[in-house]
Amino acid sequence: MMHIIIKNQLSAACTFFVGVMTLLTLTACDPYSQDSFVEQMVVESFFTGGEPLPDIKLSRTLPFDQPYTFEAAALSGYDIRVILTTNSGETDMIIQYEESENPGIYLPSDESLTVEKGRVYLLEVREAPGLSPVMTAETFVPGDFELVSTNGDSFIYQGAEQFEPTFTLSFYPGRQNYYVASTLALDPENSPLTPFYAGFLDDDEDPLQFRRVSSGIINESNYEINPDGTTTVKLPWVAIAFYGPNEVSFFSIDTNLYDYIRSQSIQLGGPSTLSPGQIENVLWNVEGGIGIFGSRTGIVSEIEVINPFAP
Amino acid sequence: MNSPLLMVQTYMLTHLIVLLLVSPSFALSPDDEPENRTGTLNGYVSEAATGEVIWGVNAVLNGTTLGASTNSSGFYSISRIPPGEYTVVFSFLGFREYRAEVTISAGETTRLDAELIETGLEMDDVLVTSEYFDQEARQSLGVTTVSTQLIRDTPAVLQADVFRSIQLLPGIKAASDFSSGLYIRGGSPDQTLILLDNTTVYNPTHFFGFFSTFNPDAIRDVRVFKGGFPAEYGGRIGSVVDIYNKDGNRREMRGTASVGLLSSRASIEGPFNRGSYMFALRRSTLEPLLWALQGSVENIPESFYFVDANAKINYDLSNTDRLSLSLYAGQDDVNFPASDDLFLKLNYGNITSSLTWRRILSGDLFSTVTFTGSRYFNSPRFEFGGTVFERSNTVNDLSVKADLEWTPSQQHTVKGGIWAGTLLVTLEDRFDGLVTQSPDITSEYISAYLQDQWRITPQWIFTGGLRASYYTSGNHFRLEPRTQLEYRPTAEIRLQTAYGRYYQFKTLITNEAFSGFDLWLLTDDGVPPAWGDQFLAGVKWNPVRQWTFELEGFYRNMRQLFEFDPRIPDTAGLDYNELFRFGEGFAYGVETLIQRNTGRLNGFIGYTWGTTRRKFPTFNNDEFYPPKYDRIHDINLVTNYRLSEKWMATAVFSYATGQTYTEPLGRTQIDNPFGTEPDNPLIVGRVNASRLPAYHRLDFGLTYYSTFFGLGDSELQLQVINAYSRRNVWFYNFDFDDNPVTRQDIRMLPILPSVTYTVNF
Repeated sequence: MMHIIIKNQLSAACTFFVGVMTLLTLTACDPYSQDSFVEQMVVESFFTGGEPLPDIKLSRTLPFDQPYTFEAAALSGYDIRVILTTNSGETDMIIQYEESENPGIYLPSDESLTVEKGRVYLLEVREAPGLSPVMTAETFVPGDFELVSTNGDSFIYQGAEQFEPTFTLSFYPGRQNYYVASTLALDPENSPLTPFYAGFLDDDEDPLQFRRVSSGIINESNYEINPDGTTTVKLPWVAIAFYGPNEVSFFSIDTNLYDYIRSQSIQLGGPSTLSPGQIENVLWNVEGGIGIFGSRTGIVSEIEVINPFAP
Repeated sequence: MNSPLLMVQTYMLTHLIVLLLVSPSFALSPDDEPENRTGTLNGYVSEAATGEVIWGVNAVLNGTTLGASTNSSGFYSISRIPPGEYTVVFSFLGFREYRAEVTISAGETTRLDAELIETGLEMDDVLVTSEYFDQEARQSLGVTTVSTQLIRDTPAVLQADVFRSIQLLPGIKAASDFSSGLYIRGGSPDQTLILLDNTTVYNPTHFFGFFSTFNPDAIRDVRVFKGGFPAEYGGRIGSVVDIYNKDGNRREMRGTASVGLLSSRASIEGPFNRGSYMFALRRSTLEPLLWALQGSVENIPESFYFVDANAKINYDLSNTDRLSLSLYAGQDDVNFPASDDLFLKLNYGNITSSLTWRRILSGDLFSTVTFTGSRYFNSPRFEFGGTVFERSNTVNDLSVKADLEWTPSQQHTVKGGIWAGTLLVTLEDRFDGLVTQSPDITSEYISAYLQDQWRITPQWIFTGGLRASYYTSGNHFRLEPRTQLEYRPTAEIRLQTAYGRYYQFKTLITNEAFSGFDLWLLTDDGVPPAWGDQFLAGVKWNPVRQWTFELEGFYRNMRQLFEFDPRIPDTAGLDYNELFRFGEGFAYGVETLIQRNTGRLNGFIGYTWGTTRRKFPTFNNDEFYPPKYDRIHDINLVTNYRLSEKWMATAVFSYATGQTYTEPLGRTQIDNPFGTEPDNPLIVGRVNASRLPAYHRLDFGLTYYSTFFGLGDSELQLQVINAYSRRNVWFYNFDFDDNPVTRQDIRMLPILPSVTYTVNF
């Protein structure tokens, strides 16, 4: 009798538990499903304070598994205008853009205009004049700043002394200034790569891909403000790709560039704690599409980088 | 803390204290004081062969409902026993039942230490038992013990491993073949408190996470609290793995030597006057392989080893006082020229020590005082083309714990304790010669708890507790109520439910791929502790001794999860609280376990259906997403078949839903003005909304038991990992040099044979 009771209990237990497992296995589905590709409009333009107004590129995103060329993605026939606003936010000037001979690339109608530092520019993209904008964006061009002095013009690569320009402070509303040091090699054909960049290069690759490199974003708050209100910033060695003459620029960047650089750099790894395979979209500050309508203001110096291993 | 929450917690604390004071078994008048008319029985329970104490042994007075189970020190206490003659029955799966006659006298405490004899191997289908899980320990919701037998028997890559065995339990998942990290009930590894002899271990891994630091030869007990853990534990919002090293053989000197393909280990233990000792050493033995490969294969580490040592010394000061000194030290060291231009040097490890004084204060009062020290250090150095990135992270944790266990009656087991210490976390990052961040945080901390297990009737058991924690860094004080209710409609069935609130004052910055760079950080001003609530319910069903059935459901939320914001490009000059992002999450699931405890064919099948999500502001459009380790279905089958007295076969099969990843949907190109080459930003939809192919793997092993030239017993283990060489995908990699972009599968382990020879002398 007891044997039968135990057997029945075992049978009931097995049936119950296997039933629960089966039910969960068969019915449980993942409510978090994969979405599919949706084409988006892409804008690309970088304003540099004091420089002529740049061109504006308009394109669309392409499916990931398709070959990408700008020509295939370019969007033609749009009405693009850039609006310079006053400090109170009112329209100061409207700059109409015209499509160039190259599809998707739009040029300012007045090429004599330059980008004004410390001002706000708005972007409006329409399918046709008179219609509501399908894409908008805005940028505050970082405030003007000037190079005051440098600690020299010739430096031994990874030596005791680094290039340290002293400059007045830029201005950006609501936050500290973020800088990017950008270096352009002036004689790359006749200068070897520094070891850091040489390490990235395969034998069959062109070293000129590193002609212009940058430091990544530098916080102004990491540097003390000098008594005269200036600041002195070090040029990281990692921002130098070629020995020899280099043009070194320090740019104060707007929030659109700041968001773009910091989010794009971690999409496929980089210095991130995101899990392998977890990809986040870039932070685009554009309404009605994606892309970047960014600005920067900079100072420029020239330095000579000496190869410590050269005979 | 919001005021309604504080009110609820204050109410619960008040309620608990009132409960203790007004409960019939506490509120007795002097005339009715039964202590004068009853007696107490207590003592230690240990293994007869070794003298090692046993945690979770049932001690019952035959023919009564009076009984108790041993604590982690092997101590039990049965109080308020009417005077008379009794037969005490001690039982524990895998050991022969032990019976002893005792006489209980009124007003006196009778000391009865018991020694249990391990069940010998008898090929009778009933007497071959599996020690995989200790039955009594499993009576609580969310608790599982893992025996050293499971750890030894489970086929494992290169060597037996504690965490690899734990990963087979329902509700616990592995991140990959390369990770021994514990992802318990939707939580990340940092949400699990790892204790070794009461001391926190901050990075319990070797080989970048491939192995855990715990040497199976040195371990006595492993208890896993998957959730709903009681008030005596704290400091994590997920779970607890409580590990105790062996005390050492109190009968005779014994030793073990084990030689594996890539690591070997040895241990020795034995008695001395009124005490015992244990020493275990383990070291990787990769050098011959590295030497053989160097010169013929590129990018082989110049040196690569791990080593760890465990030591424990026990000394009985008197019949009621025991001292125990436990030490652990381990480190990994690698010098790896990953390419012509990239050189990696990494040194990381842990040192822990604890000095424990256990004292039987009275018949029903047991105390434990432990001084602990734990140090974690981690110093990776990358040099690429002369440009150096260096990190130095240390955690220094010194503390003292004092716990009291009081069994005033059969209705109540009261535990209380305090844990206070000082914690110093240092971090310095250097890049390109510049310090990029260097926060040092010191915090004193103190926590206290009080809990009572109240056996209201033989059918109803209520456990209530409250834990209070305070950290000086950030001035954070938190209260954590915990409750559990159990109903036993029949002797075979237990219905249980539990609730608990948990706080976590530390966070682990880690990369799921490798644990060698793990970084611990603390709460501070503007960085409040993470917290979460857990709700559990379950049924345990033991229709017969041979079979166990379990079904548990859980829901837990996670608030104020703090971790480094991956989008902060430059940490230099930022305030500490600006380095973090704060998110939330939740997890829920159902776990089932069917286990056959005895018989030549024994083992278990565990199935978990679960979901876990996270959300961080500005990430994934502010929506919840599944982390990489989220798996809907997870099945593990572990079987053990005793072919003969000489041979045993083991097989482990695992199946799990593929891990999540983010499928790139579209792309564009941006001419970055700060570079020469254009950027290729990806366009994605929901983060981690796609799944890698399902994971499955079969491992099996054969063990041959013999003797080693008459000097001792030996075990030859032949194992095959991933028997059908399923190349499970770890993650995808994308190559932008191709147009269109091509995708590469980064795969996990292929088929791997393994041979281990162990001699016990």
